[in-house]
Amino acid sequence: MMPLNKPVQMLSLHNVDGGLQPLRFRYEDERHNLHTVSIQEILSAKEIHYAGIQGLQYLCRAMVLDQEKVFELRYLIKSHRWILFRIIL
Amino acid sequence: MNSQKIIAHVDVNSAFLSWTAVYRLQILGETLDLRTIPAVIGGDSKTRHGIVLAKSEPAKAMGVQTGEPLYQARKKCPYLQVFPPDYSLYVQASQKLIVLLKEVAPVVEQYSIDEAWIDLSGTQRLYGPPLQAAYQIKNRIRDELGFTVNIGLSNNKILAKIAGDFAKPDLVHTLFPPEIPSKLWPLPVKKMFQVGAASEQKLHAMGIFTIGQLAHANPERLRQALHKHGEVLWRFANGYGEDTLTEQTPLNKGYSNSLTTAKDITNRQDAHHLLLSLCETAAMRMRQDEQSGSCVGVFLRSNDFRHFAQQHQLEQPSDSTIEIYRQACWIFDRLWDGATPLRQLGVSITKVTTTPIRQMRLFIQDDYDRLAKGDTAIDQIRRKFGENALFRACFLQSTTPPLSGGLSKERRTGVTKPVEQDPSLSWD
Repeated sequence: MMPLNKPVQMLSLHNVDGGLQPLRFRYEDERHNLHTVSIQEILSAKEIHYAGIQGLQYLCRAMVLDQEKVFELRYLIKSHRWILFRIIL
Repeated sequence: MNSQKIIAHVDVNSAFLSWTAVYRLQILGETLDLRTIPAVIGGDSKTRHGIVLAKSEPAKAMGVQTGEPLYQARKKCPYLQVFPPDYSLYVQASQKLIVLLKEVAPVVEQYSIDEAWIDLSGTQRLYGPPLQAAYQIKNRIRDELGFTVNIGLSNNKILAKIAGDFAKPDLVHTLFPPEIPSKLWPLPVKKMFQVGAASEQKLHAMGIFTIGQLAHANPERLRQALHKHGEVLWRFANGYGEDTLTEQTPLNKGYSNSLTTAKDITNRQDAHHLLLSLCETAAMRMRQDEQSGSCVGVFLRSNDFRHFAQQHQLEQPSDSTIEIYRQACWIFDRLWDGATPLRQLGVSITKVTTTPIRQMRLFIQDDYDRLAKGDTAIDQIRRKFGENALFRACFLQSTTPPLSGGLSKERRTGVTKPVEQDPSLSWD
């Protein structure tokens, strides 16, 4: 599985308890078309510390072009960036 | 009490390389794992810092050694891939490792950027038997931080450290005292902690080739050949060692700074300039720890890699940049023939004490108190406004940086010395 590691625009929800929930993101494909993806379900969320870099990892299910896909999204805390790390299924 | 302590030594497998590899995989999203190909982390060859800092297992299998020049490593392994070091990443990864260890163990002693001892005594009810606990910790580091570690388990620090070195990577080894004859003694003395090339040669001359022979040697004979170090080694070989961990780092026993220059040094004035900037750094570090040293040493490396060194005692301990610089120049002038091109210069200050007593002198050259006041003021200004806020005028026209040696700013915190934890890095 090739990692995509694509920066994305994100609409997310910050809960009162500090929890972070991705809702909808937009990314650009190779032909510079913008795709907006609404997340239907967060399958798992956990904190990651690879190489000491703190982040949050989300596995999400969403529909893209009438196909259901599972995405791995990552939020890097220090740089405040959302990344579409890979498309799993 | 000794038999009840459980000490584990945690050592990151090829630390710099692993951290760079994890960064490239997990943050840059690359597919190639550097740990699986012949790769090294190497300094910049252009500024002549081109040595191997860390190597991958496949590179090691081809004979690449840490510390050797890159061209030599490339000769052994033509497809070797070289990656630059990223010190701020390493410090970050190291801090996270320590935070994780502190979470699982009550006492953590950081030994270097990639090594730490943890005290697992009395955690049996929490984690089960020590071996199981070690596996849990190892796997947790691998899964959460993405890099692998070796853990050595024993009753004291030395045995734990030696155990951690047995086979790599991603493994747990034990070396409890009953296992010493079977696991430790058959090894060559070279594998022993604190046996370098020089000690190895001396031991070989005495007919000592394995650690077992070292353990059975007469400590008196070892002391005659290797002085105090001989006895220390004998104790290590027999498995005697410290089993209490200290969280605070002990004060330095000496301060030294050196610089490998981008171009060879061929004239005395440039050399003196460089010495001054090295003295500034070393003396500043010493003053920060509130220590004074009474022995100044200078070491040189010529462009054909010959090594020269000499040291000289000061009349009394000093922490003054100028006093140390004068001594260093005096030594340098005696040491250097004035023609050999030099690639590296270093200054060291040893025999340090925390409570210097200044002997008053009748025929005094400098007013020491004034110098001390000046140094304190300079230190304060530099601490407040940055290290380049103030420098000696002689560096204005010179290409030598006013403060040389040691690590560049981003490298300085935590690479050679454990750093204090950044509170923002805590786990939760």
